[in-house]
Amino acid sequence: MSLSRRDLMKLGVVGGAALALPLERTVSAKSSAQGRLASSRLPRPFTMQFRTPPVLRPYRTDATTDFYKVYMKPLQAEVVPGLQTPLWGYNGLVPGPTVKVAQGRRTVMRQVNNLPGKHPVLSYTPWTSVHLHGSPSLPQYDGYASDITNPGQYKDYVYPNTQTGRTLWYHDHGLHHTAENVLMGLAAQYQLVDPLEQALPIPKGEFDVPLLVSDAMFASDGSLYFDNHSESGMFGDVVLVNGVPWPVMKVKRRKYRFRILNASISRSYQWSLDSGDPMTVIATDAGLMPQPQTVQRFRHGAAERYEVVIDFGKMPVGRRVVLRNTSPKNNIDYANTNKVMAFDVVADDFDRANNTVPDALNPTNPAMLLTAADAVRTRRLDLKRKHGMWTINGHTWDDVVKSKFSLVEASPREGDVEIWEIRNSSGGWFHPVHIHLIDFRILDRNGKPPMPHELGPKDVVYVGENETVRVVARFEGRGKYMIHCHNLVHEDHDMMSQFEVLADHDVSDPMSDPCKSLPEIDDV
Amino acid sequence: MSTTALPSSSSPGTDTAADAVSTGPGLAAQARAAGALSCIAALVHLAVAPEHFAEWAPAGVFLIVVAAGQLWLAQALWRGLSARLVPAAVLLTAGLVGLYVASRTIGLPVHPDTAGQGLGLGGSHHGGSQVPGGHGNGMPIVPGSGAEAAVETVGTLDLVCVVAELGALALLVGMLPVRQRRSVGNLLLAVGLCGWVVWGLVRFT
Repeated sequence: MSLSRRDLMKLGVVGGAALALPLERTVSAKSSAQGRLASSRLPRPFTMQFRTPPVLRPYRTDATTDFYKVYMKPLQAEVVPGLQTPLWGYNGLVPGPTVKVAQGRRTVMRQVNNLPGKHPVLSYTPWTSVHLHGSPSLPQYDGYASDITNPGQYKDYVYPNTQTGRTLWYHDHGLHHTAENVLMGLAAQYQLVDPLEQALPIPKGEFDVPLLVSDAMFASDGSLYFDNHSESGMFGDVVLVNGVPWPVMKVKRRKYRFRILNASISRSYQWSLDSGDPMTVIATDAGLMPQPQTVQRFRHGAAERYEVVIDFGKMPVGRRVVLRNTSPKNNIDYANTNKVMAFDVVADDFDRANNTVPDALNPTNPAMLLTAADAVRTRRLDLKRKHGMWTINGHTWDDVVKSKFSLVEASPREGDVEIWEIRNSSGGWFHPVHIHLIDFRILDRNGKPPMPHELGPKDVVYVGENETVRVVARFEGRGKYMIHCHNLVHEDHDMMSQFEVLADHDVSDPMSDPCKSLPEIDDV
Repeated sequence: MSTTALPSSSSPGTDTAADAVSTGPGLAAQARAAGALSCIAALVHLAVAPEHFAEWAPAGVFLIVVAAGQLWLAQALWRGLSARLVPAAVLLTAGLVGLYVASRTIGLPVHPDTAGQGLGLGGSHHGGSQVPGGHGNGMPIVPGSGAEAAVETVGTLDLVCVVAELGALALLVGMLPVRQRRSVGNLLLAVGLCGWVVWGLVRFT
């Protein structure tokens, strides 16, 4: 080389700067960020006791309606032993209290935002919008993302409870930070029971168990650790069931019904039992299936609900059965995300009533009677990442806002039956797509029949990598409702749009009943 | 195979020693080495182009254009680059190194996460203030990112690429005529010193 020593020194100065300055910047950025809790500090799986959230009681009832009050407020919880984690909970509980209602009785739920003015780590103002997922609520009570309630305000949500019995859930849907609000704890089950389900001899009472499954990561100070992986998803190294890391539950030697809600921000699961025993799926998002489906394993995306019956009756006392997760692709996995919880079989005596699964559950569910031939048209939803943004048919919620909420992807008339073809042309992502208001039936996936566990009424569909899924639904209701990916990071950034069910009269606007400022006034 | 083309003579009336071209038996090998390093950098740019394209299409296109330029340079150096093009190659390579340093220290103003900053949208790709009735800012700010969200972190491929580019730059500077080499060396020294001074001011004040 024809460079002198002096030349080399000059080049060394600029070369050293080019190498060292970016490295120094990366290291200092990482040190100013949250420090992730070492995996050695995490609890060992199956060392903590299982628990279920308490049931919320109405504060007032009348002939037609049950009235509830829920206060969103901060709390400190010892999720990881020895550390305090700041969380937000409905009534200060994570997960929030379960609501149990009977079909036909209306619910009015007052949601009071008593959250602080700023998130303790992420500094945003935590406005909220509460969505009852699985309810055909009027648009102004559906948790429309832009219909927000700021700290210091409240809103009364009205739920009709006219649909078939099912496992619903209420969770935050506030614009721009749904993922963060839900990760902080704003999620809970809401169970609607109907006479058909009550009449079936399936497990009930203490043998009907809610499992709200989520995942989280923790910082070294105990607070939640936030990393959305360039807006692609949040994946924790701790699997929580009803807020407890990898709990262990004592079970009696009989059948149990588990209402499994995947309340994770982004993670999908594939469940199986380490004993090799099957599980019987009896219900999906929108209630009982026509017939039970017995499976060895099944895939479960965010926001989907599957109710399964597990029979511990033939297992010996002392046996431990582990609910495992064989992670579907494109999740980020850690050492113990392949396990969820354990069941320890005990010798306690038990009630032998309601200990069977009949061959027919709900063969006349209206959504499941629809066929492709009933549809008056087919529409397509394309799920794509475009210019760094997650989009539906190229649109984001920002586009909806900029259109003054006039932009819609579809405008069926009330009562129309339509096929929606949802296409994910990417091999790098999966999208659990939620269509508000309606129950639908999955017709096919890439031209093949739906998986056995999906043969029930749904309101979320897992659209996997390079999959095209067709669903059929009747559009009953009026007004504008959201469609979005239920990977909440995708939803926030900004894979959310809307459709409008057209009717000649009495169409409500989603923003027509805004929140009120505290103090509360009992005017409902 | 041709050999490296070099300036054939000095201009009349110039300092012969200062304008003397780099010569010697190792020059062709030096050019080929620079070409090989440029090729490595191009391959890295090609490898990361798809993910950048998925994130923000203009970034992916830019990386493909850069890779094409570096591949062309690599083959030209291998075949015997016209000496007139060596300063341009130095400029291109130094410019890419400068762009890399900027993107990993202060961020580039054309990054999608900063595209809205001039519009008062808080650096977000959302319309930050377009929330009817919203109090305050609803956009979460992850610690360690915030306003610096457009600054990329350094990864292994980044290091491979920048080391290759710095090596190619040194070899290309070595191919310049002595006077040009001195000027370019002084310029690069000044840029490097400025970088260190700015870093020191930011770091310690």
